[in-house]
Amino acid sequence: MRVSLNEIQTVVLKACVAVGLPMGISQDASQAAGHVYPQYRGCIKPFTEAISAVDKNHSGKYNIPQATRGIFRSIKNGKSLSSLYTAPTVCDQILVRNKNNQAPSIITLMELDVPVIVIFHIVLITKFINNKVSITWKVDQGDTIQGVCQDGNIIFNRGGYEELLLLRDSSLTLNIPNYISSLQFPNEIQPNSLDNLNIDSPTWECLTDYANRLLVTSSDTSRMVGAGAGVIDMD
Amino acid sequence: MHIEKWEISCKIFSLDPEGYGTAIYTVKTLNNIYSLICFSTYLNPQGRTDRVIAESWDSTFTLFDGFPSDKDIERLYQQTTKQELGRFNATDLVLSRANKSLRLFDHVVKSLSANQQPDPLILNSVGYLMRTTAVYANGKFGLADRSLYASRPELTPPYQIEMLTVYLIREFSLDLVDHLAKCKAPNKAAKLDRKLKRHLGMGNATGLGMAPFLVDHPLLIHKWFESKEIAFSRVRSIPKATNEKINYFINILSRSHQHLCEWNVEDKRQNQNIKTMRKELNSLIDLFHNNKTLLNDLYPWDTLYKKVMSSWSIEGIELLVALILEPYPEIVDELGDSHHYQQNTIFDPGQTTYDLLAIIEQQYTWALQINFDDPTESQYFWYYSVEKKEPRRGNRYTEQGAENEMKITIARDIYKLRKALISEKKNVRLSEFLMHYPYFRHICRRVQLLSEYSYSEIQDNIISQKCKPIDILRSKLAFFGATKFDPKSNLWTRITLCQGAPLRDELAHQQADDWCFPITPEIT
Repeated sequence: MRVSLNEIQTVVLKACVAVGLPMGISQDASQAAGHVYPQYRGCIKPFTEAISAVDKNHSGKYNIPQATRGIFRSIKNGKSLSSLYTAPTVCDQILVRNKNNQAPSIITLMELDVPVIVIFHIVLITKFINNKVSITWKVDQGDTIQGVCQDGNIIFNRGGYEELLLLRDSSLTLNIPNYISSLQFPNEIQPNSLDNLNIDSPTWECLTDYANRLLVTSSDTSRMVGAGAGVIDMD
Repeated sequence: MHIEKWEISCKIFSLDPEGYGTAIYTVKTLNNIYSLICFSTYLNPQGRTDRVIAESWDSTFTLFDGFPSDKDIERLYQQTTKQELGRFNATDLVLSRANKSLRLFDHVVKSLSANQQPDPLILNSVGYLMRTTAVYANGKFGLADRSLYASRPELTPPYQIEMLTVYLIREFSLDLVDHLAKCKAPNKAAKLDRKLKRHLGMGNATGLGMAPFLVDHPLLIHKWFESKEIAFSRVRSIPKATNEKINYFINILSRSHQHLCEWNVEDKRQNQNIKTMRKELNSLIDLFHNNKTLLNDLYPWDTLYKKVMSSWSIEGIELLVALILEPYPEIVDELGDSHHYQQNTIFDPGQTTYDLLAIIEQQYTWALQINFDDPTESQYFWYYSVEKKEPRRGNRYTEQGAENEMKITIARDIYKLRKALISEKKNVRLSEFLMHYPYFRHICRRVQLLSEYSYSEIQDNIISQKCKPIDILRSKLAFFGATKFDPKSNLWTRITLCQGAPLRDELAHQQADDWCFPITPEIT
C-alpha cells in the first residue's frame, strides 16, 4: 500500500515512543526511517521488528563503561542489544571521532537484535560528514556481509541488501573513519522514486498499532472545548 | 498569482438544481497546472458540525496535481468524501472539506433568487459563505509529501498549496450561490454583486492542533518571525518617505479603522482589545488631521513607531507595524520567499555539557524562571485523542492519560536538563552525557540546533494553568493572513481568510494586490 514519507516518519516516531524509547532516540529512528524509506525496499519491516524486540523486552540497553571504549553489548546476559537504543550512541561516537580526526578505530556491537537498523542510522549521518568519509562495516553470522556507508548511500561489497535485512542477533563491526577512495559497488540498490512509496500492509498495521498506544480517550471535558464545540452548528 | 498572471478557470460545473455534484477549477501557473476537485453532497442536518470529529460535510475537496482523468475523479470521489478515512496518491496534494454558513448562505441565495442583492451588513457580520474545518497536506492519508513539490517556485514557501486550496474553495462557494439562485428562479435571479463577492472570504475553525505543530516546527516559526522583523527594520531604516507612500499609509490607516469598526466578536477579552485598537488608531488619524507634516521628518516610520510603542496596546502596536509595512511591497514582499527552511545540520555530540549549559542559561531564562514545584505549572498534558487522533489538552490531576503525554513540554524539559547538567560536575561531551541520560537527547538536540535561531521557541509553558493556547493559534493564523479573529474559548477560534481578495478574473488587474483590511462595500 502507498504510505507517504511523512506518515512513515510520524508513525515510526510514535511507535518508538509508545514502547518506551526516549524521545530523542525515537526522533533518530524516525529520521533514519525517513532517509531509507524512499530508497530501499522492505526497509521499514526491520524497524517494526526492532520496536517489537524492545516492547517484548527481548532487547535492551548497552553496558555503558564498555560502550565508552567502543564495545557495545547488552547490559543483561541473555538479552539482545537493542539496535534502536544503541544506534544513536554509535552515531555520536562516529561523529565525535570524525570531528576530531582521530586515527581509524573500531566499534563493535555484539548480539545486535536487528543490525540493519544501525546501518540505516549510520547511512543517514554520512550525508552530513565532510570529506566523504566512509564507514565500512561487517556483519558476521555464518556468511559475512560487508559494505560501506558513504554520502547517504549503502554500498555492498560482500553479500547483499536482502541478506542484511534478514540478519538478527549478529555482531556488527564498524571501521571509523576509513578514507576509501575507490571501491567496486556491484550490489548498489536502485532507489524508488518519492511518488511511489509502498509498504506491505502487515508492517504498516503493526507500526500503527504501536503508535496508537499513545492515543488517549478524550474526557467529556476536553471534548466540550475543542474546535467547533459549543456553537450552534446551524449558524 | 498577480505578478505571474496565474489563470484560474472553472472547467467543470456539474451540479444539480440542489447544488449537489462535481465541480473542477483549474489553476495555470507559470510552469504547472493544479485542479481543485469539489464534491458537493447532501448533508443530513443531524450530521452538521464544525468539529473535526464530524463524519460528513456539505462539500469535500482535493487539490490535484495536473488535470484529473475521469478515472482520477471517480477514485477521488470515493476517497475525498470519506476525508480522514480515505487513502490518497502522490498526485493528490491537499484534502479539505467545508460546511455552509447556513445563516448567510440561505440569505444570499434567497436574496439573489428574488433578484435582490443580499444585505451587505448581514454579509459582513459573517464574512464567508463556507468555512473549512480541516485542510490536510504534506503526506497525510497518503497525500503527496511536501518534499515532492517544494522545489516548484510557487510552492516553495510553506503553506502555499493549502492557501491556494482555500482560495479556490472560496471561488467555488461564490459560484455555488449564483448557481442555486439561478436554479431557483431561472428567469429573474440576480448574480451576486462583484463587490460583495470580494467581501466574502473563507471561514475556518481552528483548534488546538496548531499548538503542538508550532512546538514541533521551531525553524518554521523562526523564519516567519525573522522575516517580519527584517521587513520592519528595513522600513524603519528608510530616511525619507515620499508623498505617495505617506498618502497610501494614511489611506489604509483610515481603512483599517473602519475594518476594526466592522470587527465585532462575542469574546469579552478580544472585544476589549478591538475597542482599544479603535481608539488608538483614531488618535493617530486625529494626529494626522492636525499635523499634515507628521511623516515629513527623517526616519518617519521609526519615529512613528517609537512614538506609540510605550503607550499603545500590544495589538495596536502590531497593527501599526502591519500598516507601516504595507506601503513598501518592493522591499517587503520578497521576504515571503525566505519562509521555507531545510534542516541541514545534525546534532553535534562533541559539544560539551558546559557549553550547552551556557546556551540554556543565556537563551532560556524564560523557562528557567518557571517554578515547576508549583503543581499549576504542570496542570495540563497534551495528547492525541482516540477520536481522529487530534491533539487535545487534558487536566493532569483530574483526567486519565498523562502517561501518554506528547513530548512538547519544552520549558519543563529545559528545567530538568539544566538540573542534570549541573549535577554532572565534570565537563564532558554530550556523547558521553547522553549515554547516562538518554531521556534528554531530544532536548539537548533542540537547544543546540536552535541556538542560532532567536525566534524559534514559543516562550511560554504550554502545560501551565496560565497558558492560553488561543494566543499561539492566533500567531500562526496571522501569518496565513487570517482576519476577523473570533475566539470561541481559550482553545479554539474562528477566522476569515481571503476576505477582500481579488476574484479569479481580477488577478491580473493592476490594483489586485491592494486588499488588506477589507471593509463592507457600498452597492447601488
